[in-house]
Amino acid sequence: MAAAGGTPGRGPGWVNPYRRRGLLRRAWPFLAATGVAFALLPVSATGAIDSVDVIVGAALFLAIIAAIVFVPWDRVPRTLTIFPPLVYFGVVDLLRDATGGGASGYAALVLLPVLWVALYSGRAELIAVLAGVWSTFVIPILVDKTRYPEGDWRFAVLLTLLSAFIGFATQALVDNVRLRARNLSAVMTSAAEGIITLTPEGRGVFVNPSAARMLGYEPSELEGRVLFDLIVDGEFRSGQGDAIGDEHFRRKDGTTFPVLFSSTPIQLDNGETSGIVVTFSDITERREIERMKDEFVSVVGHELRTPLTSIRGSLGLMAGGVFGELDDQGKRMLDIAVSNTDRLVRLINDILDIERIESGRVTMQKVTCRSDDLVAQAIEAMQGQAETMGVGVVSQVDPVLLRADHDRIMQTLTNLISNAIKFSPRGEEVRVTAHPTADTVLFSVADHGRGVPADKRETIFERFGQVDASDARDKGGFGLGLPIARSIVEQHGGSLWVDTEPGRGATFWFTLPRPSEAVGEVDGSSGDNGRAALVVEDDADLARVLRAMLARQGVEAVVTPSAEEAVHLIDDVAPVLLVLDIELTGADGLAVVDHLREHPEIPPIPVIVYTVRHLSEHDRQRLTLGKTLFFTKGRVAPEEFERRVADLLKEAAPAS
Amino acid sequence: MSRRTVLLIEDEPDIREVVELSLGSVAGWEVLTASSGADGVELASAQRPDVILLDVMMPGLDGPATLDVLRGRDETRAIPVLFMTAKAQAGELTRYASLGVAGVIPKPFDPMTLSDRVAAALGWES
Repeated sequence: MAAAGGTPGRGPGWVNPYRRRGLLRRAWPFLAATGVAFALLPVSATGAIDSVDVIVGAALFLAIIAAIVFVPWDRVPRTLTIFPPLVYFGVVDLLRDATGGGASGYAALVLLPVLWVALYSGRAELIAVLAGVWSTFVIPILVDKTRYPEGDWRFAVLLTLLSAFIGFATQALVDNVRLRARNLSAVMTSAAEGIITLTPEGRGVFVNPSAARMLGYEPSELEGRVLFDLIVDGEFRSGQGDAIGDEHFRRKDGTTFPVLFSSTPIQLDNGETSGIVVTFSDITERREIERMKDEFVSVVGHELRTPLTSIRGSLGLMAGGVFGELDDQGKRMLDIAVSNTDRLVRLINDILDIERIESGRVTMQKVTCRSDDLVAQAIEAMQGQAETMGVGVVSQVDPVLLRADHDRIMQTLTNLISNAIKFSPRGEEVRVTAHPTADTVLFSVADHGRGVPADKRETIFERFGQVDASDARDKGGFGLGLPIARSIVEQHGGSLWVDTEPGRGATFWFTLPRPSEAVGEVDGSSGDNGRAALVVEDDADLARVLRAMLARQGVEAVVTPSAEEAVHLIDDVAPVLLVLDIELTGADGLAVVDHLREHPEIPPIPVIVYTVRHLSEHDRQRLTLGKTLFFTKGRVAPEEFERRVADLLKEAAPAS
Repeated sequence: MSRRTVLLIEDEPDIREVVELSLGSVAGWEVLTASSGADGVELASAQRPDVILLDVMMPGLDGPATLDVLRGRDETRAIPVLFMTAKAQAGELTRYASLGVAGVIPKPFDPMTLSDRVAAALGWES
């Protein structure tokens, strides 16, 4: 058969109504109705049936079917396609003639060709068929007035009008549906995003060319196939809600690529879900750009600091008088050069810092610390600046234990205190407090400076978002300290904000989540009430994945890159699970298990060991202490890994 | 106490010069320099300095790799090592510290107080 597109000259959008594909699905109601009509002949006939009419009618009907099936409709002129419906009127006339002429109920069969043409052909064909309806009733009246009385004119007019109404209404409806479908299909086909619709069971219904291209398939290969296995990890949720996320999809050749996808259930009016729409885009390039940016920032940081080291060193030696004393002006110039070099270094450090913290690539190394120690150390660190500026710093702290990255929280506190000192008038006081609330520790740093105008209360937390452009010069900051501080606090699960009254000062508040049962218990032991896993992993990305996975299991991950630190953390954290990377820089993961073996007083901890290399039997024995699972990196599917971890945690739960 | 001897392993000649002046002229220590990890290891074996200042990012043997070699040799195993790095991020400092060095000196440094920092890291009386 020729292609379904038709030949030129048929007009745009013309579709052969007798094309093989789906022919039976389209034609069966018409075949069935006609079949029933023939089957009812013995029942319906009022008088004798004209068997010649019936045989000729049946033969004509079979001829129509044969023509529809055997004529190469794609190669004949379009006008010829009208003949099967027109010839069908002959069948109707013969059946009427066989069953009592004008009084025969078989007149209703004229609606069948009208519907067929309305559904599957064009406007011209419909008008031709309506003419056929008219002739079907008029010709017999003209030929045989005895069996078809004059009164049948009424019948002819009404049935033709009814046919016209049904025909045109159906065609309008069909045109509308086709137009919408065509528009929708054009949108979906031309979209650069991948679009797939699935049944609730995950079978592909529609796959647009972009989706197929990204996945390396032809659209037809994916339609009808269960597509859940294209997802490397996780699944499209077919439930009520929308899902948006990062995933890896698998191509036909087995390779994978990262995507950003959203899946939305297709809801019917009755609330049932008839399927899922998934749209996705390939974010390989975006990931690569992110990686290049990170590398660029890191390299630039290093490359800038190397010459600065020489500059700062040479200037420092000169300013220190190593090469003889300069006059006052010369000294002053050197001091300017030194202080501005230091400033440049701080700026580079801050930019690198905020890049890393905001991207989440820095993991907070949480340890147990005391709120009063943090505040005291931060104030001590800022004492020099406070004295220079003639500002006092006082504190009031209810000591509690918390789990936080000591250095990062110090960075936050010193930054806030330094700001408060800078903006305090000489002789004023900066007040630092820390008090426990129900589930957090609330820190505050208050000054009596100029305060923050209402319209700047959020912008001061944006990069380079200082209250006044001159602050960078006058106060020596870059406008990066507060964004860094906020990022650090947020990475701890807390929040940082400002209360201020312009002209009367500002109070910066931040919260850190508190392990609940440890209030006041400042004996230095772990205050963690929740279950914690100790993850010994020096790859920050992998550590982040493990942390997220453990969080889903309701377990907080305490991550350390080194075996030495892990050994110290075991007492502190009292982990319910130890996740151990064998290949570490410094002492390897085996050292942690050796430590556990040497200290039988430490309660047994289940251990998950993973490694890139094949472990010898000896290594395995050395690593096996209690419950121990071994995984090879990259060999185990993430969901499998997570399931095994969940099982292990369930087993561990009663003991903890 | 006899004169301190310090070995600096650093690929940047300008920085070598600054450190030489800083620890030599200012602090009065004897400063040996090497421009690569391999040269540094040889010099350390031969001269047995009191401390080694080791640049982290170097072509060829980098800081951690040089440290490995130093730790693997009987003559150099016990010599304390301080890393010097321009990549002084908090996370990296912790990581370097975990490699078993006596301390990390971030670059840039103040040449007038460099010897104090080294002495403080090693518990020397300066």
